[in-house]
Amino acid sequence: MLIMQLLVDGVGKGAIYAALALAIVVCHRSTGLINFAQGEFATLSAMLTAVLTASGIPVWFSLGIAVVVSFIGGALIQFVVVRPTLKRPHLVQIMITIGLYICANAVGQIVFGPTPRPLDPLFPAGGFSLVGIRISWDLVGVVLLQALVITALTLFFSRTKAGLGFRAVATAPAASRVVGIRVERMHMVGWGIAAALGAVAGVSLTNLGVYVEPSMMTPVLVFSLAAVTIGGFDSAIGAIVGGVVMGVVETFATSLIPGLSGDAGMLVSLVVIVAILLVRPQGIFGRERVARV
Amino acid sequence: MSEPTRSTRLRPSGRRAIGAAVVNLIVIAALVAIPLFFEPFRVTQFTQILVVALAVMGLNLLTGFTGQISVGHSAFFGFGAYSVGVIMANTDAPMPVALAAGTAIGALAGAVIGLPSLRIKDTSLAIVTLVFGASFPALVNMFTGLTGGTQGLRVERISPAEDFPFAADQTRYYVVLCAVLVVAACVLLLDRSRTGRELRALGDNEIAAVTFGVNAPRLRIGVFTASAAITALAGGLFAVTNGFISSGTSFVTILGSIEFLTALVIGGRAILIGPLLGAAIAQLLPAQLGQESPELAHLVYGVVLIVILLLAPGGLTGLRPSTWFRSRGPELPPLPTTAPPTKGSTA
Repeated sequence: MLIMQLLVDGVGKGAIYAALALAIVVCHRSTGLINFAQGEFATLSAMLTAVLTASGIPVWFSLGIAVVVSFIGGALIQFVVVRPTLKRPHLVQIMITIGLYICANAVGQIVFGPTPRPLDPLFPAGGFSLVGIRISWDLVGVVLLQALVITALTLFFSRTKAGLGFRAVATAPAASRVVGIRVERMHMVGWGIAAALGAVAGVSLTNLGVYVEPSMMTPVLVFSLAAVTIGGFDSAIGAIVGGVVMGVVETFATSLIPGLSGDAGMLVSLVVIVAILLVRPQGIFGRERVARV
Repeated sequence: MSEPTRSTRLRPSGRRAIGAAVVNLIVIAALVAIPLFFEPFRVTQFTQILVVALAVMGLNLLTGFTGQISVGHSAFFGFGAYSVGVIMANTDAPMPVALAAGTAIGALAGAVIGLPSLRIKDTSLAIVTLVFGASFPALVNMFTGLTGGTQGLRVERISPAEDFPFAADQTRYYVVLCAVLVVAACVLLLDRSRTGRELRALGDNEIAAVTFGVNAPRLRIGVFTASAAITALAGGLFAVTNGFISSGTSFVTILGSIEFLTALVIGGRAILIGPLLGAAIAQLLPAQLGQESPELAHLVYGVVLIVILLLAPGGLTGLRPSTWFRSRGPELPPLPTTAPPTKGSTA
């Protein structure tokens, strides 16, 4: 029974890792780089939601505003900071996202302050019991919300013209430009979608008992990076599966291994990442890259 | 701007070499003179700058030569600091032995993390090292009995003998300065050696380098180990000059890694002056602004990092003011990379 309970709790956390992992994958597919600031962007979105809610706006409405603002913010950052470095060496691009990480973290500290604040719950309190397993409405709500967002995103990519354009740019940028797709605009859309996804992930996290504070997303970022490594940097389905796997693995490891609790769970993700990269560097759902020599 | 960030240029020759030697000598003379003219508070601050500069030199060995990036050097710094602290707290080993052991343990940690770096490169290596760096404070807190966890660990500081001509703060400064100069000399020798050229070839184009007989696995592990060892030595020296370490000390958290990287980017690739300049700016800028608010300092930090990356990717020591007003020569052809040809718009 304990095992089932841990499994349920793990899936709840995993849903959030999956959402942020998906954001990282969308970002990587659009501009080919891993955005280390993705977690901090999500923190800023959660802070915005908290500030809006505190000023009397209902929490769902605040979340909506935060998603829209995050989309615009992500697209703007891509336009101003990331675009000029797209043809630079890898090192410069990674450093740019680390610079963004510092900036976002500092902005959060200055505007919001270091004091953790709770956010109004999105879902009703309480829960139900299923054959001895305690399941809270928060958990059900969080998982359903991520599922809804992921489904909507899948439909956007597979059923709309803009989504088709985005996939075209991700696969063949030069050819896309030839047929008239605005490659740069698609890059901006990618970063915007990633930031909006992060907003949902950040706010969802507060429903699992985490307060809004400057470094709330750092462990989530670590586990999401592990999820992306498991799934492959370019695979959306891989990110989702990887996220859920990491949520379950973390919950089991921190509950069953004595001495391993709290942030030490991150050590688990270190082991997982190194193991996956050594055995199957492209991830489980990723395609192997063929390089032209 | 037109200079590639990973330059294959061999040793500088003629006027430039003499100029560089003169600048280096002036800097070394200034470094030796500094503690004689400042009050103890400032000398302690400069000692900290030297410690950071040493850590950045370690990182520079990895990033500057092979073009690989590590976001986990704060963990190697922490391995060095805690090894020295724990050894000195629990045994009666003399300080030099503890420092040597700390460096060796850091090197061992580097070799272990360096092993996967044979197959894990670029973004993946950044992820692995980021997670390694982010989980180090948790690792420290797991062994609270030994390390003191968040409560911290007191370490005996360097203290001069009765008849020693320098005060305690000056002695600490000179010990760290010695380490910095010795490491700089070693890196310089490596840079001029066959191994140094092999390393740079590896960073520029691995396939070509291997084709010409470069033993890539041996060099990769070697450079990672040496890089970690230097940063661990910096951590050990931090422990014996600062006298206190805890899992909240910013140098052993992920913020430490970010500070080292920022200093590296600001300073550029020059072996001695780059890390010194970068460490000085990275340390003094927040200290000056931090009187108002430490958060503001971090914001300025991030903005400076991004602006330097956008405008002067070679760092401050990579700037060549004499070329700014000349007409630009032909752009160098891009280095062939192993990235798939579809990435990046080519139209």
